[in-house]
Amino acid sequence: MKKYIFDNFKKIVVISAVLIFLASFLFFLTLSDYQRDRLLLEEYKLSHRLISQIFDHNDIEKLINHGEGSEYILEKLNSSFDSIEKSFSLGRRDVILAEKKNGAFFLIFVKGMNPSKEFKKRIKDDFNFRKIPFKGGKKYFLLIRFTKKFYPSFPKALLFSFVILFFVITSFWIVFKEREKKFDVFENIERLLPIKDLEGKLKRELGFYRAIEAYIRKVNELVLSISTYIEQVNLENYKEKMKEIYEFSLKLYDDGDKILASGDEVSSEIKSILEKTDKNLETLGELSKKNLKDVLDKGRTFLEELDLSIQKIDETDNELRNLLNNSRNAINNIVEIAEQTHLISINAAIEASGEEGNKRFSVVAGEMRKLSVEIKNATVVIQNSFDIVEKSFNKERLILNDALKESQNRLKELLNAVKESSDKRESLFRNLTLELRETKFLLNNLHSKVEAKKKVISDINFFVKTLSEKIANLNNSYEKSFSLLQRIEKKVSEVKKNV
Amino acid sequence: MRTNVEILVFRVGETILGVNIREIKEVLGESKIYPLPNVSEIILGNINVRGTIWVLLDLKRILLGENKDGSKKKYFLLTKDRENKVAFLCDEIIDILDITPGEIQRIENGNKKAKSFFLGQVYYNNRVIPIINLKKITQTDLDKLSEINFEEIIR
Repeated sequence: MKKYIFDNFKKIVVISAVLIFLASFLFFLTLSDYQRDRLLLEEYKLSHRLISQIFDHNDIEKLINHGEGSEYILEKLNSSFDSIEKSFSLGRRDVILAEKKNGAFFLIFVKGMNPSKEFKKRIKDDFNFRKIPFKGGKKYFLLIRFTKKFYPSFPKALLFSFVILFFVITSFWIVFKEREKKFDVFENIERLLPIKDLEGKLKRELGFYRAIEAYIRKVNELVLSISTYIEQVNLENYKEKMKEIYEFSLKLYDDGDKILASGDEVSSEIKSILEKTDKNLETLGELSKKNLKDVLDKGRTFLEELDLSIQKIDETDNELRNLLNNSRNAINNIVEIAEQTHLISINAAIEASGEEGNKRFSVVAGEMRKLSVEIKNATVVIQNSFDIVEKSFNKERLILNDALKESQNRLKELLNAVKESSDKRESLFRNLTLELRETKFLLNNLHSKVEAKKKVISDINFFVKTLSEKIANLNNSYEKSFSLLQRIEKKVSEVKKNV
Repeated sequence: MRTNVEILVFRVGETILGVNIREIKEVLGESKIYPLPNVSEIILGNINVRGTIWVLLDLKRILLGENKDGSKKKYFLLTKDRENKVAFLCDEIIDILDITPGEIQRIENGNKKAKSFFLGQVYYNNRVIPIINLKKITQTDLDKLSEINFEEIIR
């Protein structure tokens, strides 16, 4: 496609020009058409309005006189105008509306026309007003020509102008692009220039020479580049530096050996320290355990003995209590029996008091009653004494208990204090052992690190060794290559001369 | 013929009362009370005395209009009324008094209705004890009994 456009560039330009022309033509044509239509429409409307105004106006009656010349004027008008739309006869005056093909309208007042100022003004507002003397007759008349001002249709005009612009821009853009292509790309070179023919000619006439020339050029370039390279590299400096490096590497190797030896010493020392710390730890642990165990065991046994004695006291106390309770129960039983005997005695009295009762029996009953009452009183006394005994016993028991508990508590406190102190000591020992362990751990770390460094150093040493060997090899190979390059330069110069 | 009168002295709540021993058939120390449904609060229930059923009346409620269980031990006074077989509950049997009928005095305090339930009053341990007529209590309706005010005589 691009090729096609490029080939027929001139044609495209011509066509675009034609298109522009056509577009502009169309634009003006439509514009004029539009104008005519618009004028026609508007003036029709205006004329009708005017006529209506005339009919209503008072001036018209004054102006128009029906008389001579009207027919003549009509004939003249018929000859000069394309069509007479309307003619009105109002009294002695005629009003004629005539139309020309271009769309202009004429309103003619025949005979002695002398319109008032107001009328003229009114007409002037809307139209262009002109007074034209009529040549044919003696009497004059007024000719009013209606020509509207030119109103171009802006939207349509704009649209067409844009269309034209579009065509123009697109056409010129394409042209510009193709022109650019022509300069950039050598795709069309074959078509534009007959290279195949040229090549054939060159092969026949110049090809061989040119090939030789190119070859010589290449050789020259190579030689130049080699010579510059040789100039850049200062061989002797390089040699010296190499030697220095070699010596340095040897020194490095020696240093590495020394470092390795010192590392061994350090690691052995660390090991000995570690063994010592282990021994210390063991002795510390044993010492701390022995002292504490003795003290605590003694305290515990003492406390256990105390507990046992307290338990014994409790047991005896309980036995005593049981005894008291038993005696109390016995007394209660006695009281109950006394009450029962009292009841029996009362019942006996009741029995004896009957009509058939025995008086002797009643006496016995009375004695029994007295006895029971006495027993009751005695039991009350016994109970009271028992209460007193129990109270005193309880008091003593409480005092004893308190004393025992106090002594126990004190002992416990003592033991606790001992324990606490021992705990503190233990914690101290523990802290010590912990610290020792930490130092041990650190030492271990150190040892491992030293070992690792030793390894690294030995690796580096090995590397240095190989490097020095390689440097020596390189030195040899470089000398050889330099001599070779010198030979090549000589040969090149010879070839140059020959060429 | 016997001339002396024997008075059984007993306690109901905090008041000490006396009763003619001839009105009492027996004094019981212990017995199980079987409560009865839908009866007056004065009737505590039935008691079984060797196969015969006795109705148990609450003397404390009759006389004081209240019943607070002060002592655990209770005594049952079985009356000699053979038709009704009524027993009374008291808290303690104290003694038997052997007195002449002249020693029984009239009660001056209290209303007539209340007085009619007492035979009189007797001195015992420097105290005046009203002698109750249990037979009359057993013969009067329970509703009327609850209406009578014994407080002036007892206190």
